[in-house]
Amino acid sequence: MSENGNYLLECRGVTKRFGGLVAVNNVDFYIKKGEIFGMIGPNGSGKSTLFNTISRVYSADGGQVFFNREDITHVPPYAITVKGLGRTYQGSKVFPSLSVLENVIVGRHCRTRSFLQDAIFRTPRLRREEKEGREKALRILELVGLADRKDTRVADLPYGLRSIAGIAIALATEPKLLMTDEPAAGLNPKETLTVMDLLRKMRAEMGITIFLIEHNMRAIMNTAERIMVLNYGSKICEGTPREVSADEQVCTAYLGRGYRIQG
Amino acid sequence: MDLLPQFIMNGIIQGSNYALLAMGLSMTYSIMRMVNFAHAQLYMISAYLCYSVMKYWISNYLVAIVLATIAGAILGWLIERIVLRRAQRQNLFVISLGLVIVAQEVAFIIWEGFAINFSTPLTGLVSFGPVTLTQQKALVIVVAIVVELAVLMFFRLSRFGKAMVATSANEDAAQLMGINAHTMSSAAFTIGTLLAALAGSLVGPLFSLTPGMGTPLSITALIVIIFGGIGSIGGAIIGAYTIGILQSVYAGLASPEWSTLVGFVILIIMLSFRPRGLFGRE
Amino acid sequence: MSNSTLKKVLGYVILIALLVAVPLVINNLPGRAYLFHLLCIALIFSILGMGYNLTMGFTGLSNLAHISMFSAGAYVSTILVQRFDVNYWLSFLAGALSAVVLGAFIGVPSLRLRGTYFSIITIAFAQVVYIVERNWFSVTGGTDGLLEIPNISLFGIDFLNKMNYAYLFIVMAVLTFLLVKALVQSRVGRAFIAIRDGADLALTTGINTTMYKIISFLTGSFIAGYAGALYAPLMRFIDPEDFTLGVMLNVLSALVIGGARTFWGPIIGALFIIALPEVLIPLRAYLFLIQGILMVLIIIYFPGGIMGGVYKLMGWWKRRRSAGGANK
Repeated sequence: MSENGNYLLECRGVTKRFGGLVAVNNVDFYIKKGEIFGMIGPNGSGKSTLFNTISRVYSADGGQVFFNREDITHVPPYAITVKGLGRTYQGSKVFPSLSVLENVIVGRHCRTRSFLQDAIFRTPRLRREEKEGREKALRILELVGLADRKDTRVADLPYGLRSIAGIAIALATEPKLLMTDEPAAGLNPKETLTVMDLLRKMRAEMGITIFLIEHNMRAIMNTAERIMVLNYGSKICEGTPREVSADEQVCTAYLGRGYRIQG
Repeated sequence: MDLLPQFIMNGIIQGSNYALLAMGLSMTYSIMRMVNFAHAQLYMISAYLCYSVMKYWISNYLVAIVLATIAGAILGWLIERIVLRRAQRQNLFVISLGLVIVAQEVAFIIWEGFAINFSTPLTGLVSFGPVTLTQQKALVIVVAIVVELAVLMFFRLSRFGKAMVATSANEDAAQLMGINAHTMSSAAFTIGTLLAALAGSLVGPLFSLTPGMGTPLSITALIVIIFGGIGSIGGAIIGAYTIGILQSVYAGLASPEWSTLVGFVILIIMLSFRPRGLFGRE
Repeated sequence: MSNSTLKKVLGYVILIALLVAVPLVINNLPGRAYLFHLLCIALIFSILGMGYNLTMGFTGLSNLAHISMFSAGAYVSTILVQRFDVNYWLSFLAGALSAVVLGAFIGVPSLRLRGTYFSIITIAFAQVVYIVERNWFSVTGGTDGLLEIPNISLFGIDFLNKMNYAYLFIVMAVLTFLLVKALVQSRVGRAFIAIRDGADLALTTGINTTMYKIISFLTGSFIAGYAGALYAPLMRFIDPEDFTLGVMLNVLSALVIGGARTFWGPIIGALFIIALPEVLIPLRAYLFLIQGILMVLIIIYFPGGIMGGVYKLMGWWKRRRSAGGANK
């Protein structure tokens, strides 16, 4: 049990090894409800591995993960999503052969119940869920600004919009915490701004806490309220964007000695 | 129990055959991440080619082996260049299933479906202590050992071989060592089919030739590399002899009908409990 | 009624009329017994292919043991009828259920593996089933197979006339089509497709991927099982050679050529492999070769198969027409 009821996510001593390599080393941190929490670090510093360990795509080799004060270290990944922890992937993974709308409806899977017998006999439950699912999915698409593309196959979307479709899928799972892995990677500055605005809007309108990995320094410094820095799998620093960018260790990790990070 | 040494010897002969096939299959997987289900089809084609060369052209068995092996390697090279290179990686396995159909049908059309007995001049007998075997069988064992040593040396000593080992562990290694990834795939596939073709012209004469003879061998070679650990050449060699001997001893002492089951049961147990195989790396 | 619903209803009416008419027409043709036999075989392979499409096409599981479940349905239903005098329709059900049991036995351990490893272990299981069928003489008749399988009878109607088989199989094929369609277009089917498109993403989107893979595998097995139970009385004779890896490859190539991941693909594929040898008699010797080459070409250059091509063409036609309309 976590002592502080305000913590939505808390990691204690989380460790992940691949063979001899320690990819995530004894990382402690917490995220408060309603916060936008950022994570930065050089390539290969273990950010995505930490994400995968928290969301249980990997199982941790040590430490504990608490979500909403509940230990989720050994809960299967699909059940974690049901508890309200949604995520997106690096390189904006989506379900490429389905349309944008269908992608979001798949996201509602864990909020719906209809099963084999409903599918075969087209029960009222199935009809109700299909109708509701469509409406809710459309609302999400309007929020993220993809409503006019709802019937496009996601594989045919331009790259920038695919990232947003990835967020829309996660949003459809009705998360309390959204972990998003480099949503602005490969986007131009304007698209990056749109994505960051979207994250802020989700927090403001839906009360979703955000956990963000981002390589674009300017974007993350302007979006996140607190930032954690990972290097070689270990946390080297945590604080407000201003504090982090002033930290000498961070600058060394990123740019070598004698440079400053531009906020 | 007097027959046990003979059964073990038969197992070693089978094992030699499996080893020649499994090494190539393992290379193809390591470099191209392709499980080539059509691998032993080249064995089948080259066995037929060897037979045809001897029957219709040059009756020298040695020349026939060389010609059939080279033809098999060229065919393999062409398949990699024309078909496999154009395909997406995740489709390679299903494509190899298509190639199984194509190869079998080609053989069926050219050589027809009847079993062909293919005899070579090597009919004399050789004795090793309690066991006696034909020169043909002795040749299989000796050539297999020589080829195994050559392949192991190739991977340990030559620059290209070392690059292949590095590439199997990390796909970017080929580029880092200045070798084109296409060249690497081409080489791995061609060497693999060359070994399969060699096995076909050597082992083919021990059994009758049919268009369907490849598929069970492909399956066994797969069992061998999974048993020995996918990607490990040494594991493939050890796995080949182990499975060859197990099958032959079981067939001799217990029941020949159920002996083919041995391999599959081993495979299912391996995949269920230790998918990396005995010598597989993590 | 809107124009598009009208079109849809009209389409269904034509389809039903065709399904009713084809056997009637065949009944008046010379060589009708053979034609009915071909039609029935094509329908069985359609049903088998539709089940396979569920696992292989929509869920992306390259299962090579599908034929084993087909054989389980055929053997179990026949043995019940012949040895235990069980009513055909009860043994039909038992055949389908036995396929589900075998499917669970094969699928549950195999589905822990991914990709090609999964395919390989299913080949191994299929070979085990095949070897058992060949060698368990007292039950399966070994290589001799099971002979003189009785005809089906329903409501006192004897199925001596092959036309009755044709109608029965048409009904079963339609039911299977509707079952697959209903599943794929539901929450369950979307989970299947999500697994195929990205297993990790599906998992963290809240889909219990292991459970849905097993459901897909077992539903496919169930369909294969009743296809087998229909196959045996039609052939009047089954042996292990009906259920080899070679036949499995034939089913796979039919699906790939017809169009995996489309509802009509398995039907077109089955018609393709059954009807083409009859139409292209001079090319008969090369047909399986052509089939193999087509399969390879389609996977590389045209992953949608024939039906994928048809849908693309229809989409292109629609776009062209609507563009033409806008110009007016």
